[in-house]
Amino acid sequence: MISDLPRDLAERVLSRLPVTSLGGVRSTCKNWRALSKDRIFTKRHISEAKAAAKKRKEFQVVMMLDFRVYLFNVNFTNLLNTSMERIGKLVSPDRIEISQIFHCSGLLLCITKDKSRLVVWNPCSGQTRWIEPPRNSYYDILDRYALGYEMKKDKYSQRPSLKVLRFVDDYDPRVNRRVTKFEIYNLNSNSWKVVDCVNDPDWEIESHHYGVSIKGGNTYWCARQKHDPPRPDFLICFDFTTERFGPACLCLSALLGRDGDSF
Amino acid sequence: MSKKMIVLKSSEGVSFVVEEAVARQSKIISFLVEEFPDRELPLTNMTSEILRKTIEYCKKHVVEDDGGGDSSSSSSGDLKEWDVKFVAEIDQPRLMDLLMAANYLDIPSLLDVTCQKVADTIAACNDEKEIRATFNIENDFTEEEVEAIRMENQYPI
Repeated sequence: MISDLPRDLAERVLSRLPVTSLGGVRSTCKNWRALSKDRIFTKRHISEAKAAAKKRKEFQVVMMLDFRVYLFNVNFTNLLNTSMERIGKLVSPDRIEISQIFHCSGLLLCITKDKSRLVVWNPCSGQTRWIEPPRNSYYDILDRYALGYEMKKDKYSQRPSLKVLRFVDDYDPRVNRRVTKFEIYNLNSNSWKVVDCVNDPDWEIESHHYGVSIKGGNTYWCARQKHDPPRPDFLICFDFTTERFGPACLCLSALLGRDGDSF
Repeated sequence: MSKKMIVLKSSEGVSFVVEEAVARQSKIISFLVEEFPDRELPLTNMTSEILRKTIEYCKKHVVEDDGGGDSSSSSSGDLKEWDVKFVAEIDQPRLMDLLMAANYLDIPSLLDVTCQKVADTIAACNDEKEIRATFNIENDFTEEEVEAIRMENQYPI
């Protein structure tokens, strides 16, 4: 019986599982649940997975095809023998279409094409979390989004607070004026709140500039001064811990962080 | 010169006569052979069936030295194919016994293929219900834990 296996053997078996199977393992029985949550097991699992992927010359990519989001496994043995296999898919209750995605630490914030909803998706575990718009409000075509997390852990849930930043700072032809609004959603407390320190920023992020999440949970954009005479663009950072914008101090090693983020 | 043979005894008392080179793939047997030469080795926690399977695996994987050099009895590609077939033919409970035997006798390559086979079987299951059914695992969660898992699954990290 598999449940009779001593802990070290069970660990040896389970550490060989693809990360997409760990959700099922956690929900199978008490023993496996305890084991799969153990930090030592997690470390072992990550190193086994890395070694196996390297050996098989594989890597994973997220792809958007026809307004759906998928996780693919790419096998790159050699140029003549490259294969792709779909190993994950963002499952939505009513086959909703996604038009934008934003990446942070292995999680994806997906924005629906009709701007009605947001969803945070973990492509490896398949878990999803749907986010409703703030009360008396709706998601808008001018909205910009970013996903990030606080460095310190939430005292109740003991995990870093994951947050979504939603902002608009643009001329809205429908109301004939500039609309500026910055809001933040905390996935631990399930609530929206207004970021009050940015009322009328003297900088702006052009709509074709996408934010990038770099190791540490914060997001960076290329910004420019609104009113001053032309100056070179600069990097601006939103700190998800203090919930403030600030000039970015980045050293090259952070930009070339090894956690898979890229421009 | 005839090859040196050793005798392994299963839990039912059945004796298996095996070439020493075959049996020495087990690090434990290798040690015991040196400590207790010319003696029957009792393997009291292994049934004849599992011992027979283990010996079958070791026979296939023995490195033949008589040709000089280190050529194994089969090419590595053939051997891999043979391993896949070998574990595919074993049913679930016996696969667990074989995995434990490989661990007990310290045969790293056999432990590797059996662990991989079990992992592949789990990975082929669609959800936890299928895993439980395949491996005959009891659902021992309390209602509170089921609720905790449900909440956890809503949080994507």
